[in-house]
Amino acid sequence: MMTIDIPTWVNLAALFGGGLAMGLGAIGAAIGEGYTAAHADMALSQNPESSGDIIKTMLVGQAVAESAAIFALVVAILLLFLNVPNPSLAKAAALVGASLSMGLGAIGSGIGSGMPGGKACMGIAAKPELSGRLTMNMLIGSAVCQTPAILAMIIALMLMFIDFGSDPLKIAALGSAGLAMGLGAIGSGIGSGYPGGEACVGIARQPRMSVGLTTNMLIGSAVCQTPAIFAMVVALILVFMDFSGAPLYPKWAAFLGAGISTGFAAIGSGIGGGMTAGGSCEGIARQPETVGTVTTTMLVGQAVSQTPAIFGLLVSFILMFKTFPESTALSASMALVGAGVSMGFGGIGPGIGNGMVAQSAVRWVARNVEHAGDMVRTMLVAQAVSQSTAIYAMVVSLVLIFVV
Amino acid sequence: MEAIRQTQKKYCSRAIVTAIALGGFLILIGHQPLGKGFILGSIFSVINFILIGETLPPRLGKTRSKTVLIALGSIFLRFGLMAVPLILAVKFDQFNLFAVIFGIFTVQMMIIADQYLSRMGSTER
Amino acid sequence: MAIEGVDIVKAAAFLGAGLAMGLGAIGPGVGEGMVGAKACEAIGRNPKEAGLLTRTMLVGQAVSESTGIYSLVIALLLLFVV
Repeated sequence: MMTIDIPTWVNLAALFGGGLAMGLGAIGAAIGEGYTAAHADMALSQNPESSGDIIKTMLVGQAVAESAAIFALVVAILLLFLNVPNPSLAKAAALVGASLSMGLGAIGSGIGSGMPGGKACMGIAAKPELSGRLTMNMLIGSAVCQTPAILAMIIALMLMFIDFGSDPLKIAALGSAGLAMGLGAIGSGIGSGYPGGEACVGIARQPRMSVGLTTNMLIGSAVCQTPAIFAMVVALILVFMDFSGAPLYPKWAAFLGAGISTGFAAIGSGIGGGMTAGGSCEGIARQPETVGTVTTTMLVGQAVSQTPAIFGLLVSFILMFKTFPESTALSASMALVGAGVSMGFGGIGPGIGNGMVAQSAVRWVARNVEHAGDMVRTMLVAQAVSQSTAIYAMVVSLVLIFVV
Repeated sequence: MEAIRQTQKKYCSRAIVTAIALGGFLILIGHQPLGKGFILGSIFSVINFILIGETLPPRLGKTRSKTVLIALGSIFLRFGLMAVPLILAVKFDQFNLFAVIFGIFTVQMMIIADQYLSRMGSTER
Repeated sequence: MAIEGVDIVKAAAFLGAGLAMGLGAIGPGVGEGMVGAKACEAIGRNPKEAGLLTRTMLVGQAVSESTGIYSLVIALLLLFVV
């Protein structure tokens, strides 16, 4: 079939991986920077005398926001220049997986970090005397935003440095592990940007709540990391569990499907959870006395928003652990990949939709706290209906796994 | 721009002082690769920060897509430069890799340390 | 892998079912979310009308759901009839 020998495959994988990791990481940081620059422009036009503070904040903000891209650079250099001791096809797949994990993971953090930077600049334009506090909040928010990229880097380093032997099934498992972690980190990375940004806006609007806002931002961002953690669980299982008992076909497809399922579904829940956290920071800034109700509503809304990611995780687990009868037929393999695709993409829409509902609910609970009960009820009803398409997707996935 | 120069001078000078102090200390107590790696990383951290400042003004006042492109170009330029210490660390044993990576983040650490120190200073009052 | 004619058709059908339902769930998910968000806002502005607003929201979401149901139907057809 192929006349390329294994060490060459490994070198090709390393080169391709190096470029991919660095390229994707740079794109994320550039998009985030674009957002910050656009808002800094607006801020400068609103308040030209504060230009010194605004540009200082942009400068400092970019240095921290780039951290995820620097991790990607480190991984890329290691991929390109480190010699691989035991070349095998599994190692080649592991290197591609590592680059996907780090590259995709850095995109989300890069984009997300742009939001606190931009909003902080606008806050300084509105209230120049708060520039110290705004800059600090921006830095904390940006730093939290780097967390998914750090998780992705851990998986990437594991994939690069652990020796996996040459079980052919591992090829699919390792590539899929990188895909799962990379995709899962995108949503959480972007999502974490929302509370960071809104907290900066809130501090400018309501300086005495700055401690409360920073706290709420941290709580919301922490919950927002959940989808990335689901993805990491799937990645770790794929990397470390011994699957050598299972037949190659169609298990390779099951692994690919598992990675796609949790990876893509986590994007929606990550962004949705983040939007909710952002809305709660806005609500607290507008009506500081409602902080308790707003935080509770945010947590409820975020929890429901994680449901699509949980469905994705469930399908992934079934795909990884169920024993499938050996079959070299292409249809059996494609059924399993199809199951992963169905649940994976199916989780994106409802995740974001649930987040939108919860974001609006949290904003308006703050403005109208006596009727919080009505709004929470409606929020839950709306989220449940929005969830229905995720349920259809899961039904199709389960049919593909069990019936066909 | 004046604000950029001030910030650059502040953080870069602190970073260099820390680098020489910590790196020199490590070399003196016998951990040569760690010390050299840290100093090497810090030098490039400073260069990177200065270049961010230089490439910042062109980004303001342009359309969204142009801003992203300029940012992308700036990133590739600076990361190409930052690849140098990393490659040196991988190829030569006299520079410890982890120390170099740690050193690349020196300016960022100075920034965050500055925030916390000034925060503690203001709450004391 | 020995790939035969019928097998390729079935394989394509399965992958297609997954794509149909997966991508088809994105639209209604986001759309129903927008409806729900605006409903929460409206109830916040006018809590006395909560009943009417919730009913209107459900009608709107049901209409948005229709494309999702079409995707489900196509997916099931691909799985069982092809």
